[in-house]
Amino acid sequence: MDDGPGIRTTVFLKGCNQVCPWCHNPESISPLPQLFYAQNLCVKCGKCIASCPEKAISLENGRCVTDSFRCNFCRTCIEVCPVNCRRVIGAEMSVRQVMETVMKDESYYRESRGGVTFSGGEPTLQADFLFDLLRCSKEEGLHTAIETNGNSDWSVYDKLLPYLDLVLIDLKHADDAIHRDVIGVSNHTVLKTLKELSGRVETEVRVPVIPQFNDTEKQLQDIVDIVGGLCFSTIRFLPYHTFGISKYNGLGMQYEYPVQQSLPIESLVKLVGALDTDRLTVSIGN
Amino acid sequence: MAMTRTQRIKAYILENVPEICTERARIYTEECLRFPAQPTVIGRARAFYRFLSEMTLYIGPDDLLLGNTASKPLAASLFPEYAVNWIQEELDTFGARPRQRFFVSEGKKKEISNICRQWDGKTHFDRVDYTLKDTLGDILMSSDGTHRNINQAMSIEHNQNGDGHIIPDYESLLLTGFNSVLVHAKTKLMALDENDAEYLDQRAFLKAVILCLEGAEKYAERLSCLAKETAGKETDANRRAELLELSRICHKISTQKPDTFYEALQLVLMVHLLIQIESNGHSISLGRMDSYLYPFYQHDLQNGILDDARAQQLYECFLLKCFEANKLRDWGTTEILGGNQLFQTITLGGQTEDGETAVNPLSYLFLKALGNTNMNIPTVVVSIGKKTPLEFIEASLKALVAHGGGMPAFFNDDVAVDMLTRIGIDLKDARNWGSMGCSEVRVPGKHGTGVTPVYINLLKLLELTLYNGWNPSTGKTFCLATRRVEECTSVDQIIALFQEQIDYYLPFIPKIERAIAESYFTLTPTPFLSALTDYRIDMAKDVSWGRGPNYNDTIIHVHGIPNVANTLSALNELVFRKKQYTLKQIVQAIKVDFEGQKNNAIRKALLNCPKFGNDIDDVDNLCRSVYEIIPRKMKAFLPLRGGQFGCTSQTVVMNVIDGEVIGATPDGRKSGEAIADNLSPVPGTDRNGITAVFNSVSKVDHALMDNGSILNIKFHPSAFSSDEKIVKIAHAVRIYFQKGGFQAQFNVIGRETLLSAQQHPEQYRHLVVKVAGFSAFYTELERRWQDQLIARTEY
Repeated sequence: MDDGPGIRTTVFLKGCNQVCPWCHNPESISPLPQLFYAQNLCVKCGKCIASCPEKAISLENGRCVTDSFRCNFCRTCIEVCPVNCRRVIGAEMSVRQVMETVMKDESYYRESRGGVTFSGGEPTLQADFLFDLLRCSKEEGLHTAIETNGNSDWSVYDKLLPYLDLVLIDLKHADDAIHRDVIGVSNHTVLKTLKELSGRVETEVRVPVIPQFNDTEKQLQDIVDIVGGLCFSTIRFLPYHTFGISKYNGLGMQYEYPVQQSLPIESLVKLVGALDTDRLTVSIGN
Repeated sequence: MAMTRTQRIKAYILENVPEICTERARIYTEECLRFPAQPTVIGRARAFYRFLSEMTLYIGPDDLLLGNTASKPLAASLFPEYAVNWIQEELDTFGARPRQRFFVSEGKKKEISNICRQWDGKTHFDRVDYTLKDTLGDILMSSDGTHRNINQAMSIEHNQNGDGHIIPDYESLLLTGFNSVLVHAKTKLMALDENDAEYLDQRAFLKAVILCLEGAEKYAERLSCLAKETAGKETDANRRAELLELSRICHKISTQKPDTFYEALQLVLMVHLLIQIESNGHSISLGRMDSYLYPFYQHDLQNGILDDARAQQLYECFLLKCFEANKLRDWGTTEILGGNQLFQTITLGGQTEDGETAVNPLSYLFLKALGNTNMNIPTVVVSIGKKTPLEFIEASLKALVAHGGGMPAFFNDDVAVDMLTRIGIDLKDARNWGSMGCSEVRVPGKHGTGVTPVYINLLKLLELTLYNGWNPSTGKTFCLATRRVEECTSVDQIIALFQEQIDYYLPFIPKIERAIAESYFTLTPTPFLSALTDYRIDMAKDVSWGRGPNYNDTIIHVHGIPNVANTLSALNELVFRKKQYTLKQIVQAIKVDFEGQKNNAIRKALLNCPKFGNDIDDVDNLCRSVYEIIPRKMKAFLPLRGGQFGCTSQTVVMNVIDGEVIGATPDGRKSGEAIADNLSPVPGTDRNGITAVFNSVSKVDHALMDNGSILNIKFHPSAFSSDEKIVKIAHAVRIYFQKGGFQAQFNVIGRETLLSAQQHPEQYRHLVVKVAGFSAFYTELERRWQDQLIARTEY
């Protein structure tokens, strides 16, 4: 119901080239399938530990920890688990398999002028696959969108453009030093992508508003100014939330971002209300 | 901020401690039992007349509509003619229940006890029980001496209540008024042929009808006098004027037809309450209020005597008046229903006789009123067809958010019409359908009352199949399989054995229906309701007799269809396709409730098989086939009342209890766990999004079960947080209906709220949720049901 107009199917492509410490889809960062472990279901029977041929699993502080270096995805532990608390996230699918799933809801897209959104991770990292998916979607007459961090080479986007109706692109920070420091990469590529997109395809710029990262009036205003300076008409602010934290546990990852409280939508409305957004159409929240 | 009138009325009603009112029981006992030789129908009409002449009437300080069923708001009358055993048993505990308490003074307890004693052995329950024992013999089983079942595969209706399940003909009544119905009955009485063998029966019936109508007139007159009297004592000039207007209206409608919206609404309310006084049958529904009140609304607008705000206010008063009427049930039933529902259902939207959309400005006004009253009673549903404007679906979704408790529910108008025309109902009549009770489809005035003889536990029948006919929890084998299930080499062969069990049990249904229908007609006819049902005066036969030109439909509940589909699909996948386990191994595993490592591994494999609700054709097609089995087979039987046995997949709230008598099943369900609610996917097994649920559910041929199906969906409130999102859901509903889905109802409530309400019930006393075909206060639901709601997948 989110990620673009109308009713849509969102296809998540695993793998990302930015590492945002607040990421709410941590399972989408790695390009590989991952083992997910639901600690709340686990009865600590030890069967997974005993059965693992690589001896990759051990009991630590009441949870079965899997050593991701030793694990080779043989899935033995998943099969022996009596309570189904382990599963693999991510699967290899062909273009045809993806399209078959997407097309199941064709009538909903037509009725509501919706379509398909390719998200991630960062979908442009699988550029050829994404290209095929978009081309097939267009052949089926679907409205197409991608959700991107903007951090790929322009040539990648350029090739996709003929098959794209909408680009949802993040701009997280205007200051390159902070961008580098927190996300690990420069914002130059993102800014270049924005510039190139401007005027070529319908684009919605999205700003995740993250406390202690970009939530001052000045920081947000700088972002708005960049967007306003290009030929974009819409900007959407998304509030920081912490619903993803439990997934970190399940993936055996650490949630390192220090803020443990979601940003209330009312506070975000207040923050954005103080900005000079000029001619931009502003949306808040999903 | 000052309270609105609606809020004041609500507060006034809720101030009352529900109590038991003995006025009705006393008068009915005297009139019906004093002179047992008089025709039963006359005794009942006399009781009705006398009660209406003597009962306590009251007017709330802000009431704009008048009428009551018992001596105080939320007080409940007793209906001893239907059953007294449970009243006797529970008399000391009504006031001590943990929820839904009813106050009874010691003096009243004595009176009630005395009344019950007089009825002992003379009630509907007793007669049905006699016939059931006589015709079914040893087949009849019971876990507690009263609630009867047949080897747990079918539960039999409790028979503690009236007939009900009907929508009266308000449209005609509003056009003609009471007097013309009375004249009709009197004319018919004079025209009776004295030489007809049935002359005396017919005469008694018509005299009873006349007496009832005169009682109704008396009731309206008494309300009129009370309003005038109250006006005389009223110091506030505005309120005095309101009361005098009410007095005028009640006087007028006591005989004449209404002319204004206000008069029409008062007449509908009065008749609705009078029907609840005559009998306490469930699901006495109100039909298409926005359609039949529309001409009056237009009349008033043209004459400049009504505006929208006033119409909405009056309608809100109407809804609250329906809430005010209360019902006392046995604790077991009360507990699972989470309240004292009368299942009064109102239908909005729909289509006209000519197939055009019937949505009108009143439809929108009534939706708004729903959001303003926020009560769980009455039930409001919207009928959505191909020609319904999208705007109306959006308005309905917005009303759903404003109401916050699952209303309105969404019904597919086109499928409903298809259901009815397929069983031979005239197209114009079919287009006039209204929702009755939870999901049943009825033609107002033309459908008679409906008995619900049995609830078929389809998953239990499949369990019997897997044990070759043996029921592990009762130890009984009624129908030994003709071949052993382990020998099956395909899922079709299992289905054949399943059908064998079904074929053994189904023929009991007409026997049970006969027992119940015969008793209603013989012991508790309802002449007042009959007068408001088409053809009955002309036939000079009570509506409980059935037959005649009326459409008659006996309701057969089929529970657990999604579990049966999941079970068959899992067996197909693991035993026949992958050959991972043998049937024998799986049956061994369910026998011990999957205990032990090996069996647990089997359970996991079963759980991982495709499940209904994910748009997976293999399992959905099985569901489609399973859905068709009972309705097709029931065509071979004829109810005593004529018409047909119409099926429904709604489970009311029995899916929890049904599950308790079934051991582990090969869909991965552990022993005793609840079965799927209605036609919703098994909680937690729908993982492919809401469109996948819609797609799966719309694959069954809904029109085959003309008493409908229910799909419960739980949304997180964020899914409705903007107009844009509401439009998306409106589109989704539209496509679901285009694909052939019949019904969907939504709870817009977060899991966190439900969990918090369990922990701090005192802070959530007014939290209303949709349960089955009705809504209830969440904190008044029994824990098992609260947990069920939490377990539903959230979108």
